[in-house]
Amino acid sequence: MHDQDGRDDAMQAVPAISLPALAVGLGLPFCLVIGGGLALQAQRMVLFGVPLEIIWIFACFMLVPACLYTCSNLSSSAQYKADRKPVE
Amino acid sequence: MEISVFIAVIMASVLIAVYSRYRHAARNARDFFVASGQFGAILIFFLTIGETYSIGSVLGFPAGIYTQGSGFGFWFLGYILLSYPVGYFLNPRIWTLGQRYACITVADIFRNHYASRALEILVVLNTALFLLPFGEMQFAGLMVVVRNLGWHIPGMVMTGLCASLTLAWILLSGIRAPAYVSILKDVLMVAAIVMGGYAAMHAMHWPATVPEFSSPDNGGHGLPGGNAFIVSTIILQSIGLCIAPQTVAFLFTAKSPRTLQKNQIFMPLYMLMFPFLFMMALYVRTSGATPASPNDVFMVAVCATLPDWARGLVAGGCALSALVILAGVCLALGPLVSRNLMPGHSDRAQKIGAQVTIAIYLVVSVLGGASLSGLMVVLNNLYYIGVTQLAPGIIVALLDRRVPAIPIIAGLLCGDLVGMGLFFLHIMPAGLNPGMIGLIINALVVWGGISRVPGTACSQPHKQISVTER
Repeated sequence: MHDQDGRDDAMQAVPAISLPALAVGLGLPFCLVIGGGLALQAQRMVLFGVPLEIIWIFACFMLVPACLYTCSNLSSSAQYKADRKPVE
Repeated sequence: MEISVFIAVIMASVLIAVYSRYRHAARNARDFFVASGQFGAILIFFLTIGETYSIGSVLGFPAGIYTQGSGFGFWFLGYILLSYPVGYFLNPRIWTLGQRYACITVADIFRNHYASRALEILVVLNTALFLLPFGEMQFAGLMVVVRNLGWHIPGMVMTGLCASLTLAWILLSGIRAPAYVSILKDVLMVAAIVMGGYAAMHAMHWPATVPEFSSPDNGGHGLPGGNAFIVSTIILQSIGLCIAPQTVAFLFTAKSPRTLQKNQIFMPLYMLMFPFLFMMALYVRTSGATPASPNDVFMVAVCATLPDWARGLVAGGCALSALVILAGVCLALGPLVSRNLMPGHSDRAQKIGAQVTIAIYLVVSVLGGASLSGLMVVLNNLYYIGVTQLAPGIIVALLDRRVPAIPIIAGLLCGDLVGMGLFFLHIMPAGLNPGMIGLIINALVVWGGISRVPGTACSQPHKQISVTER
């Protein structure tokens, strides 16, 4: 075990923030967690003894990474296109 | 058997800490506190995860569900979960600022970007003060675990031994010790919680038999202030978690900003342990067990459902949780005092000064851990109200704006005074968290101040105020 591992991201720059990336990576997770949670809390429903809003938050443990992964791909492809522009 | 497994876990952590030194003995202060920015994705992942989920999370989440119902779960899980998207955008950029100014602490960013000693001191006071309760909280949690396991060890002896172990880790290899040990700690915690949760589900015959989950507050949220309070608290704390002094210090250990960003994508998956903690709280509520205090809920479920060896594993995981957090807080607090509060010393003197600060902090925490003092409870409640007020100053620095320190100082003071004033007066305008009101006023003051002066972009690093030249 070393301080560093096999993955080498050192040469990769962080993509610039774009509006679509911000919407998918920040706006959507906040809407999903807060909006979805509040909407389900108002229903006061329970599934297998567990309140629905809690089940929703548990589901968000996977939905939020999905949003961030999509955001990462959006940013990477936008950066790739920007890098190619002068060549074209 | 319990104690044998517990001792084996602690011994394993000592061996790992020794190994971390063997591979990389800390050469200078930067290496000691932030590993010279050499950590790869795996160590950063475990260090960050390890520092997010303390013994307080493990004991506190089931306790909150048990006493306050689903509203507590919504807030608690919501702010941790949303800190990852915030961190996805903020963390790599804070890292870049840290690289530009060779930072070790969050106060270094303010000192170098705004070239203001007054602002640096204000930031140290605004952060170090709120870190003080962390030590006592960890020891108080550890005592809950020991008490429930029925071990006849005086609390002071147990916490004293744990504090000595933490100090030994830190002296051995600085930040590397908690980083390497957190791998063991994080794996153990997940194993212990999954085992406990599964055993609780099995004991309840869930889902074949559906337990009745009735909110203790008759269907209310379980938190004061309603939805506005919950939402504003989630937003405030999700920002605060990303700019907390210990979190920022860990960012500087990373080798690249892209590593930090990619890690943020997968970190929420670690939260999949919370459904199992929820099941443990549900089990205690439906089994008719009567824990001595809400903080005992987790251990009541563990003791009722798990065999001896697994209880030892849980105790070991809890102890490591407390110690890893404690070591992280110590390593954030030490340089804030020795480097930012008392500058002008050599690299070696900074390191020694920080080690002395850490030793004093641990002694005070052990003495206070037996009974959490009222002051510490108040400071803990004020943690996010205070720490989050750094956000406007950090964001202006991230935007590469070179502005005078005065608006940032004014904003910080206004945010603190308003947030804490409203907190102590128990006033929540529009049901919002007092810290959020403070943050809005802080941001308005900063915005008003910097819009009056022509800001210049500073993509080229300005002259840093060297710690030794001051």
